[in-house]
Amino acid sequence: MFKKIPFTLFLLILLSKSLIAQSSVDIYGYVQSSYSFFHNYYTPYAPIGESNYTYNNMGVNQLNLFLAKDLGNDLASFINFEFVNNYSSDKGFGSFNISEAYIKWDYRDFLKVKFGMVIPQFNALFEIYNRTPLLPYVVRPKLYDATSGNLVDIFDILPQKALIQVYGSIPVKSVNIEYALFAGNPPNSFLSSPNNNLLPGYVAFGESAVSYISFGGRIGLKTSNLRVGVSASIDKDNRQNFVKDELGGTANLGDLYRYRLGSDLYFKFGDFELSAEYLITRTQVSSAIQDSLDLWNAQDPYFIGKSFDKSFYYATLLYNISSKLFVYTMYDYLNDDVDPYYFGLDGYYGYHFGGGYYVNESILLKIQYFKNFGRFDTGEPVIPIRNYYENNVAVGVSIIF
Amino acid sequence: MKFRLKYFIVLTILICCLFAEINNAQVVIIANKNLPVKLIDNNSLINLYTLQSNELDAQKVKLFYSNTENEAVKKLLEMIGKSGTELKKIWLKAKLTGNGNPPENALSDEDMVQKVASTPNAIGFVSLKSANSSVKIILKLD
Repeated sequence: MFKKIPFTLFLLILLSKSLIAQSSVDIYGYVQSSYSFFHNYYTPYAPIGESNYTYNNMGVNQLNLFLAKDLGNDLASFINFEFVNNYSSDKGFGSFNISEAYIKWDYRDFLKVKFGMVIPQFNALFEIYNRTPLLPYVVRPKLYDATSGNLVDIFDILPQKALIQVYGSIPVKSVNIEYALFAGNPPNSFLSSPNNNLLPGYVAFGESAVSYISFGGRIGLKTSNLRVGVSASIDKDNRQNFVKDELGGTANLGDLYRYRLGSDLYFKFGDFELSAEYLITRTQVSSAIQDSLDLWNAQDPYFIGKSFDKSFYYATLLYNISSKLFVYTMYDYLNDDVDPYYFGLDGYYGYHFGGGYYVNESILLKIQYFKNFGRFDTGEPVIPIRNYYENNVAVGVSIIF
Repeated sequence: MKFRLKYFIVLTILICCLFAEINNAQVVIIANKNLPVKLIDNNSLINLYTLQSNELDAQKVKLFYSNTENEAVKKLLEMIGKSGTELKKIWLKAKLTGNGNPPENALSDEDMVQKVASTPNAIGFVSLKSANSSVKIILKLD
């Protein structure tokens, strides 16, 4: 019995030393809970197989937990765990991601390096798209709403997370010139997984099975009340198992070069803030592939589009009524040409009106109403074109802890 | 003559009081004596407090701020061109993206002077009357 006491003491000392060593780890995060009402309808009537729906939803739509540590010698580490949509592995709800995990070398203002898993600087909103306390919205601009990840794969439109990012800013009088260059894995479709077992027996799940890497960057200007930037990136699009018809038939279109070009703007004038972003994604296809897309589109225009190009833009005008209270209006648009079944003939777009109130520095109350639109060519006889509408009301609270 | 002397004395006292008030209202940017910087310009100060930069003359600096709404804070915010809320939003963004840390809080002018004096490469701000020889003044905000 007594022999165990020194051993227990030794363990306690080790444990306390370990806890002391970890005390410099900064642990913080935020959670956003929300309630939303959804109602959709078609005019003059819903297509075959579709319907009008009304539902209410509530819960924790975003929770992020950060671990940050200053490692000395201009080095720091940062880990961002993300849980979305009432995450439960037990019930199959939502998802859990290591959103970021990197080591940062802060050599000088003009040269900083992040290495690990990095959300790169591409346009303005990407870097903060899951930081709900920084955003006035309950439901974010369409491309960036992480909670609808099973509907829109944002990494199919935005660049993949980077492995390395070199960035910095150079002051020139009252202007700061910002730059960022990044490189990383190919898109997720080139990573091996149980549903996409590439090179079986060679590549572990979660690892890349091709030699490609992605590149990109952003260059911009920043002053006290203005920030503008231009972004670009290049990668490849995996179209080896392209689903070409509603019956699930596939065609191998190979790996296609994909280019992105984006621009972002933030401008503050008096109590108004204007933020906007534009992004186009172009996929290079051969004439043979283009002919195939045209053919499949002619056979079923409701299911297959004529190109892989994508576009997104949004603009928000926010007015600060006081330091605690704000209102805003937003217009957003998202389109993926290859998927008319989801994005319709003219894309998926909407008008948003919302506001928020800072209860204190840690709590932000939000409210938002928005109406989304779409237009579909169903291919049905008599009246093939259907207009689609969505009404949404959402209230939420973002809490920093 | 006596009447004029009386008025002269009263006027002199009033001018002295006014001058003292102006002197008290003046805010200074203070730095740790080891920081190899003699002067800082407005743009560099704005870049530091908006976390756009964390260095002066190639030296990493440690910033201090005061959460109390005193005259020094008002003058600093006026110079930066942001409200306290706006500045804190910028700091929150930096913290949540891992791109920087907000300045450390000082409870009073005395605390600010003491922290700047004892922290290598530190920068803070106080009213002129609170600055002492333990720190150096690198900018005056009028």
